[in-house]
Amino acid sequence: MMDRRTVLKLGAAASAATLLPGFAVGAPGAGSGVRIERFVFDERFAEAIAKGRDAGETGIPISGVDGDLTRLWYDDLSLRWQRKPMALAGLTAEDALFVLGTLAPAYRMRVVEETEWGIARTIGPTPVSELPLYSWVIAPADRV
Amino acid sequence: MAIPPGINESDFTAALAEFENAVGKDWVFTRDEDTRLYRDAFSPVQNEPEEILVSAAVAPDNVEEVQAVVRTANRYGVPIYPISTGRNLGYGGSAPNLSGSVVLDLKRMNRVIEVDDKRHFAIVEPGVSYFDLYRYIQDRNLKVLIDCPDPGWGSVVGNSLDHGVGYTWGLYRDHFIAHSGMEVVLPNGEIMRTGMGALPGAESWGDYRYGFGPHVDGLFSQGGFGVVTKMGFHLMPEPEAYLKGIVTVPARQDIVDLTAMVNQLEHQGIIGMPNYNTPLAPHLATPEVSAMLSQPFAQAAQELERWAQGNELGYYSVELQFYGPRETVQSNWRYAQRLIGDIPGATFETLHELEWPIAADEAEGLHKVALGIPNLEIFRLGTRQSADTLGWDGEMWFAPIIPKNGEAVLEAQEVFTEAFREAGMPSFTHPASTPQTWMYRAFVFLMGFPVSKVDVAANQRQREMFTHLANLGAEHGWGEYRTPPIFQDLVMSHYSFNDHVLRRFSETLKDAVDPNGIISAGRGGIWPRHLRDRSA
Repeated sequence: MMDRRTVLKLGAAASAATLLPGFAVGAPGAGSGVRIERFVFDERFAEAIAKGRDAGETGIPISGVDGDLTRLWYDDLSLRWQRKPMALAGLTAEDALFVLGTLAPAYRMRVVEETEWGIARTIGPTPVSELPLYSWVIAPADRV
Repeated sequence: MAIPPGINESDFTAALAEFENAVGKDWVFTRDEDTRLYRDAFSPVQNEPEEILVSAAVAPDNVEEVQAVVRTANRYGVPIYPISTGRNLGYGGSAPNLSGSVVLDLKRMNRVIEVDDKRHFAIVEPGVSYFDLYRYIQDRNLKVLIDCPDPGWGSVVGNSLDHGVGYTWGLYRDHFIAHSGMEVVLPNGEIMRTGMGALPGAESWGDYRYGFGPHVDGLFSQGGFGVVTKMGFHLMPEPEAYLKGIVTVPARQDIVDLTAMVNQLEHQGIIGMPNYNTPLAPHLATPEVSAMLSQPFAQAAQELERWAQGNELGYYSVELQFYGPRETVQSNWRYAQRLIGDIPGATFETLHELEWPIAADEAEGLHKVALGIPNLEIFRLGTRQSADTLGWDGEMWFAPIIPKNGEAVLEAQEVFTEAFREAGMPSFTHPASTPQTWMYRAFVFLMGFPVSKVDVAANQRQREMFTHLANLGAEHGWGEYRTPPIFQDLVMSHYSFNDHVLRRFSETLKDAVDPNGIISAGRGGIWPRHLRDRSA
């Protein structure tokens, strides 16, 4: 997983206010009214890295994933979610959204917002491909 | 709010109130935004009238609450459908067979009762996932290995009850065979334990699966005879070492000798799960090879083999996995090379050598489940099969059992590939297709049929082809071991020896054990009496 320092280095400039359509990350009560406690970005895409950097700058804890959610799930989210549900947002390919969206209901959480953000090209050592990115919010059922 | 079939609204309302009394108001779900979470994410009938939807869901926390829910359901005739974690993707997810059923969601029953790393077993509740069991073992530094499927988010109990499978050694990877004893809430609300669990005071629940008398555990797998609330499982002791080697052979017919030799290794316990594949896989989509494969099967097979040999690629490969003491795995690998070296042109390469404890970093890039490490890698888009590309939202698995020999592989390649060609559909098989080897004593000639959330016409075509292949396979003696709900009646109809006596016998038992037909109606093609006509 990419750490916060790397993200801040790699990310392109963008305004936190435009981070996600429909709500403002890090602004409790704004937009959909969800206070985001984690931002998940897909480190295979420059656009998602940039959004992760922006979220990080607003003070939201961030997590980079490459489509495989294993480490984020096993080392982090599954432990937190067992204690209490939390709200998280993300800009990822479909794979990460599907996995988190499928895991969430067991912890009384669900996908409450899902928007196709646009097509993006992968970066890095793997073969370049184009995939749609999704902007999403997963939140406790009783907080939306 | 939907109402279950055959129930009037006032009775259903009364039943829901009793469910709430039993489990608490927070754990009875009737709102659409809750019940839609139990749709099958990979349903091949999404947004069609046939899509199976649920009326409500109830999530008990313990066996007493399960008993209360079952008694209420029995009193009012409410159909219930138990799920463990509900992630049986490709085979129905959390959706029942009967639309309008109430899902009995056992996710809160997620306690690991016991893990013994001296006698090598675990006893768990249905909500325990492979990740949960793995964490329990890791946190306590217990020296046992779990055998888990891809992915590891599913329930240990639920996977076993649908005859799920894994990737390690011998019988451990047949998750139902690996079980040892159950606790079951019967349709009348009684609790039954099987195996040594039936003997008060016995401490051997996780050791000996049969106990005494008829072994009834099979009724609760792919069946609707009760709600399983605990199960024991045999676990593999953590071995000292692991070695993976790969064998490549050059000719199409080599699969006959290769499978016989690999069976010889596996059935003696020398290797774990073998993984057959073809080195041709990366080339199959190239224009040159695609053109070859578009021809009638015999010609395509001949030209493909000639092309493979001309390019010195090999025709089949098999990865062999060795578990055990470090000296033994090396020695067994040498023996495998001596044995399979009788096939002209066979080549050998050692891929990985590891020793336990295996750190997460060491396992990176390897097939983690073969090392007993659960993961979610399979969902990464880049690792998906070509049939599961963008535009498709999931797959339904076509999983016929064929004999564990090369002759059956060659026949299945031809029968299924020709069927696709005759239907004018892109084929999921070809003259170098290889079987899955999860079962210790059989092959599965697996195909993933893509499904879409939006393209109804495409889903209909896939269902028609799935049905055609299931019928065609049955004509050759190949039947599915597991299938999505909408195909379960079809598949059961193929297991027709002596005028369908297996189904009739199961129906007789169903009528006796569950006379109101409340549990998992239609599961495994077995319907309760009052719904039996619907499956004719």
